Amino acid sequence: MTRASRLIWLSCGLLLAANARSGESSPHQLLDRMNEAVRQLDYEGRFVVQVGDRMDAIYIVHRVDGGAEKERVVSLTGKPREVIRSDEAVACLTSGRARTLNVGRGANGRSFSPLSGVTGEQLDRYYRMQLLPPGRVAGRDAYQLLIEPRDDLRFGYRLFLDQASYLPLRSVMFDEAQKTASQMMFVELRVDQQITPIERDISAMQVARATPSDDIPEERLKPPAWEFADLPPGFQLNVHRRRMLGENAGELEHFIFSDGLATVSVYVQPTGDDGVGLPPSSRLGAAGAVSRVLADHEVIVVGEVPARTLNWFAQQIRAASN
Amino acid sequence: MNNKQDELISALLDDELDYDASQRAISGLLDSGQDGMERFARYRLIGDVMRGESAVLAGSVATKVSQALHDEPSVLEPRAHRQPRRWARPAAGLAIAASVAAAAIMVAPQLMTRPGEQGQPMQLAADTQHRDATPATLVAAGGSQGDARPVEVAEAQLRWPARNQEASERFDRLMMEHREFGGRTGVNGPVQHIGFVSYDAR
Repeated sequence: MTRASRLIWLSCGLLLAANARSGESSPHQLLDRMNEAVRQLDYEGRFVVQVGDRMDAIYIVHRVDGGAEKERVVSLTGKPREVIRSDEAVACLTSGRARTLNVGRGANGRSFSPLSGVTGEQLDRYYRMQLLPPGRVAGRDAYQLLIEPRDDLRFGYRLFLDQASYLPLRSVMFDEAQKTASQMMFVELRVDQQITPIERDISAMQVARATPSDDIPEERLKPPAWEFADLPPGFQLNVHRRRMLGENAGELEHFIFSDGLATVSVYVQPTGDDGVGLPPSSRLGAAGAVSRVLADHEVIVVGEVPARTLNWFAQQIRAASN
Repeated sequence: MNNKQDELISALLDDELDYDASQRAISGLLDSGQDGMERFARYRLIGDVMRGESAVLAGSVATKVSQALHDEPSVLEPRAHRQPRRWARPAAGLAIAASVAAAAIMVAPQLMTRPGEQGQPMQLAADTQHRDATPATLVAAGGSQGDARPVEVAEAQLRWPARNQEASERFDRLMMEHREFGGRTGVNGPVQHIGFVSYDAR
């Protein structure tokens, strides 16, 4: 074998090895594994969250019990706030507020994943994914994954995924100008070992109860009263639900759209004293909100997407023709 | 961690170092690993508590850490390869912030909870005494050198501009439903409701 042919064979071998390696941990596979990990693993840790100029520290414990997720998320900085997720409801508590916010859960306490509703090809159409050199976060080795949008209708992400568990150790969401819109980063994480039992705080779990009065029985469900003339490319309707508002205040319709990674909610409710009265456009970190009045109804669009995308939904909604 | 480094930490916290010296001190802290970070955070936290101050501080260290966070580009590739040193320092700033946060979190519960409860997370629903406690906050501030604008942190306004308290609560619920029914993928972090916990809910 000549030197040249040896070099060719060596090159081919290296190329095959590289392909095999990238196949073992392709961006899509990493996303899928992360998607499973956040919902199916037991984990406990502390992380920091940056939104704009503000930074908060947060404690989380997440357990899966009989397939149902239970979770506590507690602010360790600023005003005491806490989110408790039992298998039937999610409760948000904050100091100084008389009532807890309580939202019933469906799907037997399991989280829905918008990522499972799209194919890899669909994701590739709207995002460019790339593995970057590995990093280290919270003392753990991490895959680094860059997800860049191919248009200006969605944000990008830089993720550091735990090589052992695939949990997101650090997530940076960046906007159209590639500026950080928000980010979180674990500083301490335990997975599947010595996790603090959530049930220890019995009173906390008791506040996370479903409030059946909010739910509209299935037999009363009817087709949406609103429709969208056109949707932003890549977004599809994942959820449509209705909720009773206050007495004689009518119903709220809720549409949830996603492209697999970004999620947008559109709420439509009668205008009146029970409205929210947001300004036409507002933003807190990565989350934005757009509001308008349409045919005596208040339309509110929220989501972790650019304002242009929120406005698209707000402008394209109309009364259903059926 | 020797006495000289302890003195450096002290000087750093007291804002007695010029810019170059403070950068060297920060590098030294990074090199000293977790022990140094915890000591730094403990010094600061204990000092704050002893002085009876809230943890909202506009110190120069906080400013530098926050500036480092601001300066770090969101997308490091491909610039990361071409200019590795450009973001090395901001990344170090983030590491310090995170480590300080970690250490502060480890120390804070011992200062906030009653005997026998040390090391436990806040039990908001179970223990109303904690509602009145001033929780120790981690350190961050914004602005450039010489800009003492206190931006972090615990008391900063970070809430949706609803027209009144009741409307704000109604909007909080909408955001909660958005996060709950929108599902979770992990790209925004491990849980959907980080927003509620980190934003000011009235």
